[in-house]
Amino acid sequence: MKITLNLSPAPSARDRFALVWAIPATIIGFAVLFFLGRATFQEYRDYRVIRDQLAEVEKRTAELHNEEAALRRKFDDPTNRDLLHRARFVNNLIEQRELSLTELSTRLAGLMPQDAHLTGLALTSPKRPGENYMVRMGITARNEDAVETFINDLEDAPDFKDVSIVNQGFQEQSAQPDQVNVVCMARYLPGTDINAETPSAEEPKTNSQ
Amino acid sequence: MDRAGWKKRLGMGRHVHTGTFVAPNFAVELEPGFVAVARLNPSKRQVQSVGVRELPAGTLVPSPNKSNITDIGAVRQTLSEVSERVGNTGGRVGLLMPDIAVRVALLQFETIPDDHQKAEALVLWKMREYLPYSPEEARLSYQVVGKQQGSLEILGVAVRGSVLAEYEAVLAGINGGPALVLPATVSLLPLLPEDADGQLLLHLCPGALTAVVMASNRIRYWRTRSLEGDAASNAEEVGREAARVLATCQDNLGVQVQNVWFCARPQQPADVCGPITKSVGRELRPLPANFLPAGGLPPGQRETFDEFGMPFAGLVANLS
Repeated sequence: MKITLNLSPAPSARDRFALVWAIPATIIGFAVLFFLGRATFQEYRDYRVIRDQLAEVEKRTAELHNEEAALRRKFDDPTNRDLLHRARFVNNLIEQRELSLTELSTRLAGLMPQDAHLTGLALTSPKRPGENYMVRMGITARNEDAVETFINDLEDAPDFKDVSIVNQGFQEQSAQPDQVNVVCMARYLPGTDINAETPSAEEPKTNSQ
Repeated sequence: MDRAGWKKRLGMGRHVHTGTFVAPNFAVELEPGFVAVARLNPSKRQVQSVGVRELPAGTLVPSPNKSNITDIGAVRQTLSEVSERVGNTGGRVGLLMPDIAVRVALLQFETIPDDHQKAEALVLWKMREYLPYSPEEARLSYQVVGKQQGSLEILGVAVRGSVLAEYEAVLAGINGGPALVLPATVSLLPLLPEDADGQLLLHLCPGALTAVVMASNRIRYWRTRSLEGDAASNAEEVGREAARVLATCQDNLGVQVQNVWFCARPQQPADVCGPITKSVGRELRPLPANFLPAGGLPPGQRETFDEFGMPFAGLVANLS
């Protein structure tokens, strides 16, 4: 008679499949462990590189701080402080001498009498250090007095020097026989204090004709 | 929450469902007078090595509902010695228990549920009257041994969980514990020839006698009774018990027993077998083995096998 009895507990699903799954689970476990280990190693290597870079940057920062402190000490020296003030003054002058064409136009418009208007403007840059800008202006006036007034005001202006008339002409055939065309030149000194200017006392006479 | 509540919540108090027969590679039999160990080769159906060692008296006292092992250290020590001699090469472990510690019953059913767990619960419920403990404490295994129109005959085997735990504790750490647990007499059943006539198996072990009647390859009767004293002093009692079984089977079951198979371990001299033979009125025949289970035994172990090894032969015979 064949017997099928057994008082031992039936193996559970976990018992039955434990061995079946043990090998793939172990392989997967080792694979995961390998990748984790490799990733950790790589992270550690990157961390060390970044740490070295950070140390380098900190070292450089410290050096720059030292240099800054040394420079500050140097600048705090009375001799250098005086030099610094002079340099600041020179820099201000340089800044003031910077040319602005808009400023120049506005300035000339302010000097122009009512009966005259500007017909041309040319600016020549200095060719050598120390030289000034040269301004060439074409003016058309209703009469000669207006030209005179403008030339006088230009000569009195502190930011214009060495005013000279290049040529002057009359347009006899025009509708206004007194109309004068003048081309003049002057040295322009940008940044000069213009408060010292003394405007012309005489108002140009307007030509009613 | 009390301890039982926690165990239930943790899933530790659930009923343990038993498995089916598995062929062991290493078998251990624990009986009150001896520990027998065998190394088996199930594929070749051979007992490759067998060893027996006497167990100190009183260290194992079989009982269905009380503590069985009084000195686990001595039992483990004895088992260790005999295992070393036999050689444990791994594989599944089988445990054969004393018949007294296990309750066996033949149960009649009209039908049982197809679901194994429900069927087990039903068998356990019907078997409760045979158990001297709560059915919830029992570990049960059952087998359909007879099937007729509208009738099922089931052989139920139950052991108290706490009792079995003692035996399992002895084998703890040996190849992961027992994969097969059976009462010793059950392991002898595969050795009985398939015969239409009635046959009686008398299994005499220290402290117990089990009588099994089979007819037409069906178990018709099963009874285990305890015996006081040694076999010699119980020879007449064994004879009377055998005669009672024969009469019961003839009168109540209508089974005429032709062959009486006698398996006494250790083997008994003629002065013990004589009164039994006289009582049953038939020749006491040793259990047959229609194959050579002991063919692979080394010299010197053949006598040990003949005297103690028939349950192991039954385990390898059950494969066919």
